[in-house]
Formats: sequence, structure tokens, C-alpha cells
Amino acid sequence: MNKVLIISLLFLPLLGGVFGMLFKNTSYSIGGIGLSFAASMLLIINGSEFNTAIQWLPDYSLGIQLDSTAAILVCLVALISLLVHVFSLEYMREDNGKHRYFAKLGLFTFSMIGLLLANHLILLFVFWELVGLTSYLLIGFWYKKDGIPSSARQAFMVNRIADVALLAGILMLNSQGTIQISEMTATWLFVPSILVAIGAFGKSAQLPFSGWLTKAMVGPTPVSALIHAATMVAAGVYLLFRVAPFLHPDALIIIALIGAVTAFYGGICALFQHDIKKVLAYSTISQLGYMVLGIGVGGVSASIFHLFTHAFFKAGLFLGAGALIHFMHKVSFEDAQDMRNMGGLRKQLPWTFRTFLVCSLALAGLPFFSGFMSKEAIILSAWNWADQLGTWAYIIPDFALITAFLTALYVGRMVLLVFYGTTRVELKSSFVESNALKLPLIVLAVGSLWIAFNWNPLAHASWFNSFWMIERYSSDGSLIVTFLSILLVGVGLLLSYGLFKPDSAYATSYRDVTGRFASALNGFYVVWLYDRIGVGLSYAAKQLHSFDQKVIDGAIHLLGVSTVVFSKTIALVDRFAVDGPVNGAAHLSGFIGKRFAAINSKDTQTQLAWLLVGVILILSWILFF
Amino acid sequence: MQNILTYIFLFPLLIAMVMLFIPSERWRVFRRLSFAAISIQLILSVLLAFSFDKELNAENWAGMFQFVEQVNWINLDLGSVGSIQIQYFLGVDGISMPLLMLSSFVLLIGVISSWNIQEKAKGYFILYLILSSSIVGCFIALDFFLFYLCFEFMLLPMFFLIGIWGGARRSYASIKFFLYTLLGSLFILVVMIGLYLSVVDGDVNTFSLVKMMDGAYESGSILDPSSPELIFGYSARVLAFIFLIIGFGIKLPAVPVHTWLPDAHVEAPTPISVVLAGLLLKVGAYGLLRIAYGIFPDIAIDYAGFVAVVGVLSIIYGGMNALAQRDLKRMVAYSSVSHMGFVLVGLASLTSIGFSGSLFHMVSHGLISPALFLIAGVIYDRTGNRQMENFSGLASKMPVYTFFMAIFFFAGLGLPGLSGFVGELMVLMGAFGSSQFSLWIGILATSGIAISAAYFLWTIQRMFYGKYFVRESTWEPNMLDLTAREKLMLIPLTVLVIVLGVYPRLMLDYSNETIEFFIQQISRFYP
Repeated sequence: MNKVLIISLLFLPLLGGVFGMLFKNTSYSIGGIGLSFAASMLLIINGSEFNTAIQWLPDYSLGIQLDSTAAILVCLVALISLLVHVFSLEYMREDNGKHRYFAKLGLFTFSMIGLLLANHLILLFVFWELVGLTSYLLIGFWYKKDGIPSSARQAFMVNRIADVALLAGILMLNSQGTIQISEMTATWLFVPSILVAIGAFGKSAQLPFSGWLTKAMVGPTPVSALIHAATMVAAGVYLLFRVAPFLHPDALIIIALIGAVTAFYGGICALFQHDIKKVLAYSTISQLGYMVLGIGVGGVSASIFHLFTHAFFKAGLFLGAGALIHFMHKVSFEDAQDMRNMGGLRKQLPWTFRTFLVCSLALAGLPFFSGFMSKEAIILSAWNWADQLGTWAYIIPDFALITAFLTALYVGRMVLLVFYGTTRVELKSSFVESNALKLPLIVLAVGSLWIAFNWNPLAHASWFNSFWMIERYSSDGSLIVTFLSILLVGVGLLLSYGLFKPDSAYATSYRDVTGRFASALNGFYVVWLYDRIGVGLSYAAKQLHSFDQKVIDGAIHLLGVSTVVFSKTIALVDRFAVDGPVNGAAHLSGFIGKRFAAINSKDTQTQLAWLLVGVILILSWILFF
Repeated sequence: MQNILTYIFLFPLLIAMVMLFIPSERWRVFRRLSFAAISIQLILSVLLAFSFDKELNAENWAGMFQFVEQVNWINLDLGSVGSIQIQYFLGVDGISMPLLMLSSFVLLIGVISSWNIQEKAKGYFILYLILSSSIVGCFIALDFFLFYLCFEFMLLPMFFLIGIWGGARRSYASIKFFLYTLLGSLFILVVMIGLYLSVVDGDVNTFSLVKMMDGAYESGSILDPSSPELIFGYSARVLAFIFLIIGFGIKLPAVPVHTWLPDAHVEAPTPISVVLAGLLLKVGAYGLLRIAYGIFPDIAIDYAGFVAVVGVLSIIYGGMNALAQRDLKRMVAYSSVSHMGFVLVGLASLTSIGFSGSLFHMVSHGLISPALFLIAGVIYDRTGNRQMENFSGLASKMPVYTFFMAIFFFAGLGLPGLSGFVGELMVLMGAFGSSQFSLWIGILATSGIAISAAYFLWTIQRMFYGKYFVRESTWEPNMLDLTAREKLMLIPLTVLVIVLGVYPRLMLDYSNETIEFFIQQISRFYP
């Protein structure tokens, strides 16, 4: 029974997508993912564990395993995917390629669920690459537009480079012991630990790989919600969660540091963006930084909790942004993603506004919203961890607290600039939020309230914690930290209200604001760095190719030419040095012969004279020798 | 089933002889006959595969081969010098079986791809069938002389097929190809003679590869492992191994003796590129595996690091060169160089997973690279041009073509679920698990998967994404999607690439026992 459920929840999204594309009917896709979600719910209710494997290579059995963590996350992925499918029905209704789009979404859901179920690092890598592929295909979905193909390629390449490290790490572990996840025991060495962590940084857009996620925002917005906010980018965190007990202690410290710096970096960059999707992208980078930090400090279950809450409110925010963009496309010719063209939209889009507000406050981490509980859990874990390590280690919880402040600031800015005040551009036509848009938003907003996770709004754990409980440092702890972070969030929100309130100087002149703080606007030139590396690589390739043509092929040509020259020389030698004497001998004998023949041809007297000469010569020979 | 290998080997040759008597005006007959001949060859090899005993295990190499046919062929008595005894000796084991299947399959794809050749069709198809016989012969010959004969005989039809039916610089390319590989053959010839003089069957010298692998050396002969003789300070066995690496390395091709390949590929007609990339390169790799590693395992252990470095160099150097190409076919050609580097790394690892990986990668590349050349051929057939900058946005104009392109490009860059990944993964597993060389080899080889992604994705971006555009307006009416014949070639390749990628044991079960035995043989020589 469970086997049937697992097989169906894994393959139904894919089959639905394929059939949907073949028969040009989106209901197959919706049905596939809907059934898959139902199957995952049934598995949760059954609460059973499951493990199976097939022999893939002669000595390698690749298996899938369903434990409670995988089950709850599969359920999450299926739910978000279902909501995104429903949302896309409206969002992509007029697109010619929508059947292709739903097929790719199906392939993605299949791969993502497979990734969660994989019980072997190699199988995990297989699905890891497949989600990377679907991400590439969906970012490049509108491939005819300028800039999109190169963004898709860059996103894939950055991931691929991190994947090289991941694969190398996995293979190194493979030669040292088992890489079946459920059977791993020993602590790994430093090098493979850090290589696997780099792989996770790539997928989860941590520094220095973060740039691909902002590039990925050119894809359709529901895709950003599903892949580049809620699920795929969290795969890195999931991988770290799975391997955290075995990572080398030094690697964990590096992970915590990278996470903290990335969280801060994302917060700063988000504050200066004008493109609403870029704000959300940098916010995702920042929140993923929290999760990675949490893994590094041993707050493993806090990280997964944050992954869970983040999936809801960030998917809600992206879908809300999708609704905004959809609206802007319909009613205006201006750039639909630029916040400078928005403003006052709470009247036009009441439901979008309400849900967006709930999700935003969850992101900001205000009490009574889900984000508060999970973020607090991470900060507390970091605090307790630093407590044990020493004073220097407080830098990590400090970064986390500062980021909490920054988050409140940019969330306030975004909500105020988009929904409050007056509309900054002229609206051409009216717009009604359809049910397909509203329903997913409402579900996700409800999921962002505290009540979805725990009756106690100040708790740091949820009803689901038993699903993923492994902990090194407890997140119980000092009230001071909780107080401090609530204070920082409150100050951040108030400050943002002060700065960006509807009649403030900034908000009134926002239409014409251009890039000050250019480096933060451009994400501190991470993407520029990728471009330079790409250009450098292609230059190196050109140089190497001319080396190949000139030196290696040149040497071959030189060999060929010198062989020909040598042969010609030999031919000359043959003609003059070898054949020459032979011909010379012939000429000489002919010459001599002719001379002697000349003797015969003359008259008798001459012959007698020569005879006399001969006789004299012979006589003189005899006489004198 | 008696003498089935002979049928598989010589049937195309027989049909070629029949063709000689058919008047050349009836050009359609030739392609039909060729199709029939290769189809029968394929059917026979499938039958062979079904009756092949995958579990066979034996004490020595002589017992590992199945369907053996062995008769005395040439017997020359040279008086006091000795005698030359050459056998007609065929057989297959787990290494040659998958390659035999691959050959018949790719050769059939090649015939379908040649369907529209009208110009001098008689000569073309006769040469093609001769080529078919000699390629298959290489994989099943167990007598070194017979192997060498087939190995050399591939050059002749190849030379004419490129030189007559090729592109603009065809004569340059064909001569370069011919001389390059002929040079390689000379190295192999030297080793062959040395081995003949050293290996005995009973008390007469023999060319039998089986005896050579089983190490039946005459004591005190030049290549006897216990012989103390040195040539220029090296033992003769070391020199022989190096000679074989050079000889087969040219065919493979390994950097730095690879420059014949891009020229030959670019100038060859599409079907010949298909065969060249799909099979001829595999003959080089097979020769390395069977002869260099099979007969000189002791030296292979000492020189594992050297072979691995050449492999890594090929992977990275070939990949970087592919990145610099603007001609689609040239890009694919350099990607072959890069991929064959993985075969070398797998061999050098001297582990069973590495060896299996090399063999799997040979088969997988034997499916992917023909498809890539077919894809390059599609655009060339329509426009007579392959320069990447002349095309853009083909995805919107030719969606089916783009679909197949995507499958094989991603197979080429090693996407899991397609066969290219499995081969690379196994080779890398071998490289990381090997005790023969340092970790850096593995890490550098792994970086090859990022380079291959770079050139394939860049090509997709330049040619298939973006707004639709072709350079010349005269090409416009020709820019139609795939024809039925093109789909007929690409669909079976796609199916096989996916099936092998999802369930690699389909092939590995054939080779597993043989590879295990091979590694066991090598392990006897560890100090």
C-alpha cells in the first residue's frame, strides 16, 4: 500500500505534465499534482516509514527512504506545487507555450520529491541535477526575449560549478565509506565536508554563488515562487540537514559564517532594489542564509522549521508579486515589475494586499506570525552555540539580529511603496482578482499565521517538530534574545514607516528615483564577477584553441612539411650524388669512346702516326722501367 | 548458432562483393542492399546477445571467450628463420559483446543517414560495407594479426569516403587522417612483431591475443616479464606499452595527438562522421583495453599516473577547445576529445568500477556523438552552413529538432537520467577510489563536467534561444523541421540513451564478470 502511494506521489506529477503536454490539456497536470498531494497526506496520516532499493550499478544499490522528515517535506512540496499550478492556470492562460510550461513544472515536482526521498547521496545528486535542469528550462521559458537565455545559462552554470564540488565531495566519501544516508555514521574529514557544503551553497544561493538567484528572476513569477523561493533553493539546506551530524566541526563553523554573512548581504541588497522580484530574491537569499547559519550552529531542527515557514510566506509573497505583475501587465504599458510604477494598489487588489501583508509580516518576523517562531529558534540556537564557543562566536548571532532589523526595514519599504499612497502610473483598464489567483494566496497567508504551527505565538517549536527532531544545541533560552529581536523588528518597521510613509519625501518622489547606492543595487557586483569570469574563460578557450591550431597542429604540419622537404632533398641527392656519378661514368666512357673512335675514322697516315706513338710509348716503358 | 561470428563479420563484405556485379546506374539498389546487410548483421548480434552467457567465469582468459571460432589460416614455413602461423580466431567476451552490438547499431544508423547519396553510390556503399566488416572484425578478432589487418583495413575505405564524398578541404583532411593513423599503426606493428616472437602456443610462436593475455611467454624472449634485457635503458615491455599508448592514443584520440580528428570530422560527410565518432574512436579505446592493458598489466600499474594525466589533459584541453569553436561540427568533434579523456582516466584507475565506467562511457559516447553529428548534419543539409553566428532562435522555428538537440546536448554534458552521466560517474568513482594516483586527478576530471556544460549551454543560447534569425534569406524556405528519416535515426538513439541512463545494468550485466576477472588478473601484478 505504502509502496503504491510513494510510487504514485513521485510519478504522478511527471505523468500529469507529460499527458498534459501531449493532449494539450492542463487538467492532467492539475490532477496529477493534486493526487500526488493527496497521496502525501495519506502517508502522513499513516505515519509509516518506508525503505526500498534497487541495484543500479553492479555494486551500488540506490534506494528511496521515507522517514518522517521526508514525508512532511514531500507534503509541503506537493502543496506548494499544487497551489502554484492553480495560480499558473490564470497567470499563463494566454501564453502559447503553457502546455510546455506545465510539463516542465511536472518534471520539476517529480525531481524535487525524488530529491527528498533519496536515501543515497548519488541518487540525491541525480535529482539535484534534474531540479537544476528544470530550473534552467523554466528560467529560459520565454527564450525569445533579450537577456533571458544568458540569465538561464548563467544560473545553470553557477549551479553546475558548485555541483562539481558536490560530486567530488560525494565521490571522496564514497571511497572512504558508505554514502547511503540512513547508514552513515562516521564523522567526515574536512575536505569532503566542505566540498559537500559548497554544493549546498550553490543550490541555496549562498555567497559567492548567490548571483544566480537574482538572474533567475527573469522566469515566470509562479516559477520563482515554487522553485526559486519555496522548494529548490531549500534543497541545499535539506542536504545540509541530512548530512549535518557527520560534518567536520570546522566545516560547520565555516557554514555558520557563510550563512550569517549571506543573510546580512541579502538584507542590505534587498533594501535598495526597485524591482519587486529582486527585493524578494535578495530576501530569499537572506532567509536561506538564516537556514544555513542554523545548520552551522547545530540548530538543525530550527533550520528545517524555518524552511517550512519560509516556504509558505515566501511562496505567498512571490505569488502576490505575480498577481501584481499580472495586474500591471493588464492595465499599464510600463515595466510591470518596477515598484516605481506601482503604489496605492491596495484598492485595486484587495485580496492580494491582505495576503501580501500577512506574508510580509511573517517575513519580518513579527510575533503572531510563523516567521517569528522559526527565526527566533535559529537566533536562539546561534546564541546558545556562541555561548559555548567563546566571545568571538557572538558575531554570528549578532549578524542574525542585525539582519532581523534589516528585514523589517525592507519589508516595510516594499509594502508601503507598493500598496500605500497613490498610484504612480496611469491605469488603462480595470481588473478583477479571479479565484485561481485568490485561492492559493489565501491558503499561503493562512499558513503564515502562528496558528498553523503552534497555539503559542511565542513558542520556538511547532507541532511538526517531532518530524525532524535532531538537535545539538537547544533553542530554549534567554528571554533577552527574544526581547532584543522583537525590539529590533519593531524599530525596523517603525523606521521604515517613518522613511517610506505615503506622504514622505521618498515616497512622493519615488517615481523618479534612480540608482543611488549602486553597489547594493547591483548586489555588490557578484553577477558582474561571474560575467568577468565567463569572459576570461572564453578568452582562455580562444587562446588555447589558437595554441591548438598553431603549436600542436603546427608541429604536425612542420613534421609533414619537413618530411616532404627531406624527401625532396633525398630526391636531389639521388639525382645528383647517386645518379650523377653513374650518369657521369656513362658520359665519360661515351666521351672517351668517341675520342678513340675518332682515331679510327681518320686516314691511313694518321693511323700510322698514332701506331708509331704507341710503339714509342711501349718501348719507352720497357726501356725506362 | 554455429559460426555466427563469421556471419556477423563477413556478411557485409559478401554483400559488397555482390554489389560489384550490379550496374552503377541502379543506385537505389545499393542503399537497399546495404540496409539489408547491416540489418541482418544487427539481428544476428542481437541473437548473439541473447544467447551470451553473462555469468561465465573462468580460470584464465582462454575460458572467458564465447562463440569461439579458431582455424589455422596462414602457415608460412620460412626455413631456418622459423615459421609464421596466423589463425582465423574469433570470439567475444563481456568487453567486446556490448561494442559489437553498438557497432551494428551505429552502422545501421549510418546507412539510413547515407540514404540520399546518389553520386557514385556504388563505390560509396561498397566502401561502407568494407568498413563495416573491418570495424566489427576489430572487436571480435582474437588473433593479433587478424586484429591488425582489420585495424589497418578501416583506413582505406575511410580515406576514400572522406576524400571523395567530403567537404571543401576533404583531400587535406583525408590525407591527414590517413597519415596520422598510419603512423600510429606502425607503433602497434612493432609491438605485434615483438609479441609474436615472445609468445608461444605449445612450442610454436603465435599471434593469439588470448595466449598473450594469459602470459604464455617463451622464457628469455624479449617481452618476457622476467627478461633482464634493456633497450635504451628501458625494459622492452615498458617501451611496448608506451608504443601501444601512442598507437591507440592517436586513434582515441588523446591530446596531444588529436588534431586529425576535428579536420576529419568537419570534412567528412555526416554518415561518415557518425561512424567515425561512434565507432572508430572506440576501436582505439578497445585496443587500449584489450591489448595495452590486457597484455601489459604490470606496466599499466607503473604508468597509471601517466595515463591518467593524459586523460585529464584531454578532458580539460578538449573541453576548452570546444568552448572556442564557432562551427557546430567542430565543437562536437572537440567534445569527443574531451569525452574520450574520461575513458583514459577510467582505465588508469585500474579499478573494476573505473574499467566498467570506461566501457560504459565508450558505449554511451558511441550513441551520443553520432546523434550530435546527425544534429549538426540536419542544419548543414538545409543550409550548407554550420557557423553558430549564422543562426539564432531555432527553437521557435524547429521545435522537434530543438527537442532532440536538447536531449543529446544534455546527455553530452552528463545530465543524470541519460547515459552520459552514468559513464562519467563510474569513471570518476574509479578515479576517486583508485590507489594509483592522487586525489587531484579525480577533482580535475570532475571539473570537466562544468566545462562541458559551458560549451553545450552556450551553443544552445547562441543557436536555439533568442529571436529567430538565419543569415541568408535563401536558406529561409529550407528551414523545415525534422523529416521522417531524420526522426527514424534520432528516436532509437534517444530511447537507448535514456534506457541506458536509467538502467545501466542492461549493459553492465554483460561486462561485469569479464571486468571483475580482468581486475583480478591485474591485481596479481601489484608489488
